Amino acid sequence: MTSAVAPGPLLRVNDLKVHFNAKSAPIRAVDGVSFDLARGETLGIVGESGCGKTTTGMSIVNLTQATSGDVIFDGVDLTHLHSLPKSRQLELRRRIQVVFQDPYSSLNPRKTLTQTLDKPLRIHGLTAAERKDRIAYLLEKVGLSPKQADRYPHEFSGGQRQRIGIARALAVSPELIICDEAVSALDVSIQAQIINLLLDLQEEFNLSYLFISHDLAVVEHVADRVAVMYLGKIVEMAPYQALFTDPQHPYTQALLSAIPVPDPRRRGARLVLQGDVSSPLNAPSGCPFHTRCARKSSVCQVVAPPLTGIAEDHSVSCHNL
Amino acid sequence: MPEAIKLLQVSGLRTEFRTPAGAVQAVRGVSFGLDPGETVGIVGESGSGKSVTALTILRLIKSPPGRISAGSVKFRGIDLLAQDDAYMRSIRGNRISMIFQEPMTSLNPLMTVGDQLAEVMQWHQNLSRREGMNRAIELLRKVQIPSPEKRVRDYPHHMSGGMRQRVMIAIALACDPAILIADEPTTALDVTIQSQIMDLMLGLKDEFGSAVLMITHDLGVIAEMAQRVIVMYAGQVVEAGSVYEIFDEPLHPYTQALLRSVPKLGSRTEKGRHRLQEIPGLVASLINIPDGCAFRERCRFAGPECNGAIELQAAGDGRMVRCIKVA
Repeated sequence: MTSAVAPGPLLRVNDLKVHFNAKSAPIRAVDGVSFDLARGETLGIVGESGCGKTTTGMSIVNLTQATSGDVIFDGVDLTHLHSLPKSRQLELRRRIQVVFQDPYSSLNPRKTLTQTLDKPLRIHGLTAAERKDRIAYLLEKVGLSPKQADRYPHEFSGGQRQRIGIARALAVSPELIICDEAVSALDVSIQAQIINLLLDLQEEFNLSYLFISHDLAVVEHVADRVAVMYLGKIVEMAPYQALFTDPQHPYTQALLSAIPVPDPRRRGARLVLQGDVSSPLNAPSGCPFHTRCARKSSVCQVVAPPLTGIAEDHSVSCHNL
Repeated sequence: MPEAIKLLQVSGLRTEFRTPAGAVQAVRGVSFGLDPGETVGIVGESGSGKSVTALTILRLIKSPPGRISAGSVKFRGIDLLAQDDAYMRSIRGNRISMIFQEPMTSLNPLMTVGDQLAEVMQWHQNLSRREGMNRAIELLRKVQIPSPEKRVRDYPHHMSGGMRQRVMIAIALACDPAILIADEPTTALDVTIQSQIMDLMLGLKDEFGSAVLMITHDLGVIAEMAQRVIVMYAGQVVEAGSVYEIFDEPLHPYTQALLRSVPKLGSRTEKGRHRLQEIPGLVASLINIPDGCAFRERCRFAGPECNGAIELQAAGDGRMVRCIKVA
């Protein structure tokens, strides 16, 4: 049970910036990202390589240090986590967990499933008996058999390993799970199993998900709201219905149209975007997307458009809507 | 049987790999044909044998641990599996060429892209280096690389992932091959770049007239590019047919389940966050495969009759299916 339900969102990210190599030529990996996430809600973050979606997720849990901006989790600013007492830090860390993309490299190959799951429980102060019960409970929740508890990661398939990764995240009863490309490395038949598992767990534990993915079809399936990122900025954010049926930003439109649909009768309907994804190494001035945009005008090369609300919960950053 | 000689006819192909745990039977009796100019897609999940099939066709299987244990690969009637290495070298990159998934690891980081392109033509067409470089510029232009006269002197690390894949395609097409094998050519690319590369391949295919064997796990890419589709599972062909037949009316329970388990863009109903149709269980292990249907443990139609040997059978005009419940 959570304590009294706070008014306000569980997570509020405000003008988050992550700049690497900030002294000489800064790489603006994340450049002013803001969003809210409510309890039990899923926010999808989509975009292509280098758009800053993973860096955004990692800076929320301090795996990457934010350059500026606030990450307010249940009223506490996580960017100043280190100034809090250790016990308070531990408590906050317990409440946010991460499921990573690659179930091969994110599990310690020299630890059995039990050892992997035992560690976080011990850190968070459970007794041996409690830990044993908890591990059995977790395995059952993610669809693994207690008989497999003493096996090593290499004895499991990719899908099973991702179940272990989810069990590890769930172990300490978090409220927010950051899923960073959590199903991207999996075969489609296994991907469906893991997506269903994540949906079931969310319903049971009222989890909030920050669901980071490049796969728009998966995001449409799991997210309540979706933020589209391009070169470190959110270019469009909307509830999933609006984003997928009525996208407004030219990049969102192109991204949606570029996906090959598994239906041969709809072939050739793709809108092909010219040019490469710009690199944050030499980001263009003005609107980050203007180098590839069919709708660009002179103002786009100079002034970066702000993210502006166009309908309830629907905001877009474009000069030429 | 007096039949016209196929461009490519793969028959009863078997490839296995020796491992400490036992022989991994990666390809277990695969047969299919390829006609001039057509695009055939091979679709399947990890471990289905689709890539090993492609590598076996070009005899790129390292031995040991690999071994091509049975079957034939007839290119214009000549069995490639029976030829010597010199013959294979004259085929690879010339008559049959291949594009791989990862353009960074399949290009030589120490050679300019121009030299890599010219090398193919120097080797197979006896062009001089100068002629080769001129042709290289022409080919880079064909794959729509801007300012090819400059780019020809670039090293692979100067280029983005999409550009490198364009260079790979240029190398593959340099000698005007009869067959182009593309193994997950767009999988490592971002969607907007994938879309560009698919368009490029479709355009060049019309221009060069090569037959394409397109290997992918992505049903969207298959639907976009292929005319015929071969579905593989656990080292075997489980279904084959035209792209419309496979997507409109899949016959094999695995194909049906696979198509249903993919989240499709625009399929989420208002408010309804329905569970996806999952395929229960795990992909079958390829060591000590029992007789009978490899999919039966995950199949909702399976019965005791699925334990016996099950052949790929004709199911109407040009369609094949390996299921006792259907045929």
